[in-house]
Amino acid sequence: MNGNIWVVAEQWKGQISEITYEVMALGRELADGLGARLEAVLLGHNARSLAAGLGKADLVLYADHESLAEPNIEALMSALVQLMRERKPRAVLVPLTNVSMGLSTLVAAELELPVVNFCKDAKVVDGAVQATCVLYGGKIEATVATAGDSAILAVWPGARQADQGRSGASPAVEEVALELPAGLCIKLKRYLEPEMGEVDITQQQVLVAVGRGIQSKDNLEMAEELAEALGGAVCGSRPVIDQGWLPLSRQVGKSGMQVKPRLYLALGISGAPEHLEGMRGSDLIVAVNTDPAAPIFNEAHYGVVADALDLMPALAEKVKAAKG
Amino acid sequence: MTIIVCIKQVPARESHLRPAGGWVEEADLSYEINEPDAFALEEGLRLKEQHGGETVVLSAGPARVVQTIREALAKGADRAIHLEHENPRAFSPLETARFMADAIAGEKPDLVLTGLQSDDLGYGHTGVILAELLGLPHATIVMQVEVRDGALRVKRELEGGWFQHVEMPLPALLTIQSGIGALRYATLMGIKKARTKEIRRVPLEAGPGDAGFQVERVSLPARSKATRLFDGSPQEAAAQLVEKLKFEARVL
Repeated sequence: MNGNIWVVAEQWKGQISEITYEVMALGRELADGLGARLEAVLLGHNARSLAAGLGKADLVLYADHESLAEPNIEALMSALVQLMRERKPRAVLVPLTNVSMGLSTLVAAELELPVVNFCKDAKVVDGAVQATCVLYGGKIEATVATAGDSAILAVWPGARQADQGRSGASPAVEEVALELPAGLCIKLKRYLEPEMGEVDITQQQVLVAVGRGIQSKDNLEMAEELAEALGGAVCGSRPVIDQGWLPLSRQVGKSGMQVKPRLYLALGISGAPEHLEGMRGSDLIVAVNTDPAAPIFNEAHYGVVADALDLMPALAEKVKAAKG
Repeated sequence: MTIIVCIKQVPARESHLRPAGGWVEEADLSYEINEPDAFALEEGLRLKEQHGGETVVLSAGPARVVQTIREALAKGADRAIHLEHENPRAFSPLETARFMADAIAGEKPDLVLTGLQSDDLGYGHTGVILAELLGLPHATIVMQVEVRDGALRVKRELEGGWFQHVEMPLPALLTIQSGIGALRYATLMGIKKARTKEIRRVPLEAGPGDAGFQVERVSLPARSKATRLFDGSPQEAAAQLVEKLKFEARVL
């Protein structure tokens, strides 16, 4: 197998997404392990200056086209397929984000390449890339070997630290010309800003997070009482927001907020990858769940295998007593 | 409008999964509709009520899938197509999407809906590949759908609380995110009617099932931290936890 390692740099609203640097760190490791070059692929419009942040790569391939101004999957796919056909990279690492969802899938289908989704780690074993991916909402992991000359890895957030993928060095940039369809069928109209709630959960020191395990909206009261005793706020995982039990501004996870409180108390949350992404950086994580195999326990410092509905009042009482 | 909703049956959320025989032990699992697909069905039924037409569900899998199809019919879908094969792992997402495209093409759908990803494999591949095979524009992670003058305006979920408005002509394919609307329950009348609704069976010939990679090992996830578990009654566990919060985390 020949060819280089590519990282697709994700950019939207004029910025490189943070996850790009995480994926760059992983890409650098793979390139070094294979004795290959690391190349970043930057697709945009009037966005060449963004290449400056991609110094971890040996080369930035920059393609400029008005259809690439914002991440339109139709245009990105067409661009990436052309570049890969011409240059035949050995592995292409794509950030697994909502913004670029579908890109790795479509490129792989078009080029008939394997694609490893929810890739949380990858390494070089016997001169080939071996990847670990997450299945069943984080309950199962699979280690896979990619066959053939090339593969696409859709890398989930948190595979590496973003700081490992940054560099002060200014990379060499090669501008590449692309033929893209003139009119796009899918039109991105506008971005809608996050709705701010009455409480900014990203600023809280203590978060009491509730999930499906609290069973009904009525039980939120117990979480509120516990949060009050701890001097924090209540937030939730996706199912709680979907049910309308808490507003969107209180959602922790991929589509919600990224939080890093001193204490994150996860009550009745199973710990799907999309949720872990939003809270993994918390200083102290305590998980309470009836299922001892719940993935949330893999991220927690302390855990209690119990029904959150039993533990919440007991804990609120002890906290109040401890504070005197 | 003719609306096709693709649904998948997956292991129930409470399933205790364990690795076995190079994959996951499937013998004693119970199954249910994939959660985002339940929301796709909801949106499909809502759009039919608003614009008229027909909602057709499409599902691939072994005979057990019929249960999930019947539930969708009981909720109000008009008829169903069952792509049947005893081994659901015999197909890669690309192969599955090809069979689905073949089954759908004759229906001339105005709109195809899928969940954004499955709760089991979670690839999120089949829907977008299906769009490509049918030659339809698509949007993923959709949280709102408006049909106006033969075109679509949808609200896509991004990250960090951001959303995006996207427009495209019909016909189109959308992958739906959980929470797009409140899920309805099947009524007694609906359950009764479902018994006589058409389920067209299409037996599938197994493909190579090759996704281009070999699974070398399946395992439970490794703990990233040395998690300490507290035992005892809720009171006892709470007491131990408070000690840690007070003296280690110093949040009290």
